[in-house]
Amino acid sequence: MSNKLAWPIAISVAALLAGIFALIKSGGFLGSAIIFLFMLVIPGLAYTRLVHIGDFLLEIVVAVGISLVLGTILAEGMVFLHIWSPNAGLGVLIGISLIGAFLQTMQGRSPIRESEL
Amino acid sequence: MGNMSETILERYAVTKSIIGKRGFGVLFRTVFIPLLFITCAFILWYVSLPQINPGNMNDLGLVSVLPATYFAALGVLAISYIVNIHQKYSNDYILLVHILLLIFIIHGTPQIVYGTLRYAWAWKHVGIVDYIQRNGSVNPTITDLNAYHNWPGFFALVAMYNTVAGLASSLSYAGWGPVFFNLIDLGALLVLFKTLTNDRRLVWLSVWIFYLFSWIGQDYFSPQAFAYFLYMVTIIIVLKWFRRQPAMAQADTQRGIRSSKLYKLYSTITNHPIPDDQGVSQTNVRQRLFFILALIMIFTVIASSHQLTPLMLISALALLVIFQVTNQRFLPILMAAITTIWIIFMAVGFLDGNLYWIVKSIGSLLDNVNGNFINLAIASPGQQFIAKIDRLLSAAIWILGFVGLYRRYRAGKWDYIAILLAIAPVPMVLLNSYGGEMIFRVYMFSLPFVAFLAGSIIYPRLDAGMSLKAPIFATVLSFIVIPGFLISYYGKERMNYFSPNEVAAAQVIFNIAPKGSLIMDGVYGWPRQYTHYEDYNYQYISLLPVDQINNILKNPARQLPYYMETAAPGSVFVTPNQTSPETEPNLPGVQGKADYTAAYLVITRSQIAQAEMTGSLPADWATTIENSLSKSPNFRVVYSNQDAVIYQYIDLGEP
Repeated sequence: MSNKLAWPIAISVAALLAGIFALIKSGGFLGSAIIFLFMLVIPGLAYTRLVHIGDFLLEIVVAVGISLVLGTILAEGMVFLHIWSPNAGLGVLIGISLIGAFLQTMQGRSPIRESEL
Repeated sequence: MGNMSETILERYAVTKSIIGKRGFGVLFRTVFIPLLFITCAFILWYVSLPQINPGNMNDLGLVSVLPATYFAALGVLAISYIVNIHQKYSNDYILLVHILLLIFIIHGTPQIVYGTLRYAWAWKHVGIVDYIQRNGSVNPTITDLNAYHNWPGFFALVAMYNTVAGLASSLSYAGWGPVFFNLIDLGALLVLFKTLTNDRRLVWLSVWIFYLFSWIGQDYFSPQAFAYFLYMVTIIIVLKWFRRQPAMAQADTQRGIRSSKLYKLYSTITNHPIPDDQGVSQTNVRQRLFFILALIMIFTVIASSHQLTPLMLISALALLVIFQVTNQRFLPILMAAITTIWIIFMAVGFLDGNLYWIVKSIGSLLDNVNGNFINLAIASPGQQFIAKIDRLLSAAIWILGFVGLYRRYRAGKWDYIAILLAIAPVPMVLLNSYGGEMIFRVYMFSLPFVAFLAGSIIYPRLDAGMSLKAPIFATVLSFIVIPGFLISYYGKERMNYFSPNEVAAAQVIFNIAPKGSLIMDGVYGWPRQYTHYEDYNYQYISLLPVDQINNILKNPARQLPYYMETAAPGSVFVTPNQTSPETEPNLPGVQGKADYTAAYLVITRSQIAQAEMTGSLPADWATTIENSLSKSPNFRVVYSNQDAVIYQYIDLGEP
């Protein structure tokens, strides 16, 4: 498998697993942990990889920040708009992650040019 | 990209040559021996856990019941960590494992030993999540815990998680909040310090110092812990991708007014190369757009999650702009605009009831500072001692910070970014006392940068701290600070701890009390308001004026019914003759006879501990009330166990 596809695949698998456990609602500790880790890291990671941060720790910290922020904006939006639907919210986060993963595969075909720096 | 690959290759070549030359010796010193120490520390900690009985805590809190093996675990960990920092070829992963174990030892121990959620405010936070989870909305005009409904970001996120994960409440995991927040803060701290120096010894030592001085305890399941992490992420993004190159800063300064003394001072600060300048990243347009969008989202979430953090961030960003660390002048303006918009349009429900005291406290420096300290005159001897240790630790880190700054300056490194970020929260003391906590929050937001400066005492420059003096000094300092830290951080555990019996009593009251009941207690420190909190009215006796408390304690069976019938629903203890806004900030104007469906009085071990520790009620308040109520036909015990008792008030007409 190409290295360029490893992250998009990992992100997509994590997103799908979170979706599955959210649907079955009986995943116990494993299910709760997977959904937790998904909401904590994946939506942000799907996009931080697009901007080639380089330092992995820095990338993870920023990814966690962005993931928490995306989740909060969604949750707060649903609260204030009186459209509370956490499953739909998770669905949006999964969608955001999958789009990010897809964009990573597209970017893999045209790597960032040195001239852009 | 090219540079990064070269760096990796160079590093690989260096490592290969070292291992090749030194072979097993290096691996043994940098991996096997540290792992042995870590394992030893873990075992010492592990065997400590069953020996800790939180029910035996005295006025010094958890420290009073910690066995010697617990302290030995921290001692072994400290020695191993500091020796490893000092090692020439130390391994970052090994250092990381040390810090992870430190976090679990300090912050995981209470959760493992107690088995229940600690800290009364954490229970309230669980209650707000529960409200959103059940209602799918907030009520910004609600009387009780009103601020949380106006800044609900953190709670909404957790409510969403609970629902999708199939969890009925946050109680099952909220106790791990301190471990979780310290873990994510660790990542942010490492990155933050790496942007300030290229000396990895200083990075790791600063992390160690941060955790040994982080005694404030705001890392629990709370919006402030959440916003604190986002605050650090914001600073990282600005320093990493929006930092102005030093040459540009100098050029801009030269365009300024040159005549004034202020300018000379200003140019002295800014016209100086940033020390160890490894942190400035070359950015492309895509990155800048991405991070501007990220900052806008982070600003929005911080502004909608916590009242104080946006102000801290505005102050920090403003200083970074004024002193040309960044050229993105719009950042503090944008944060201020988002915060203002949120307060005016979304948090109006909070402002309605609280604006008068917020305005009143602006600029009242002395009142705000004094309001932050506990009243030592009435606190218990143990708490008086702990308060002194708190103050000593706080003073010590600032003194160490100043000495470190001086050492760095003498070494030719002018860390004005760390200085600016360390002093940025200080003006907040002028704003208000923040419920008696502002000075602690200022400490909390300054701490990462002061810790960095303090670490510079030992490693002011790359070629310093090579002798044995450095690790010896760091170890001695750690051995002095660790006991102080444990006393400060664990000092209030006697009231923060809720035994399974107390939790059982709390579950009973919320099972039996019908909607619209009054639930009265001595002080607020027990597991209350964690479920269906909006259905009940809460009052606590300690909030009353002293003369009224004394009046109740003269004859509780006769006096309490009066308060149980006349208090205003949802307010904090209002009587027909007592409407002072100082004690009733959320006074809804409802007075006179209250129409509660039922009234209960809850007394728990933790309440007795809290009242005794803070001096908020006379020493024998609980015994006096229990003796009186047990003889009264107006009260009956509906539940009791070793640590809690619940009385129900029965209205028989005249008591």
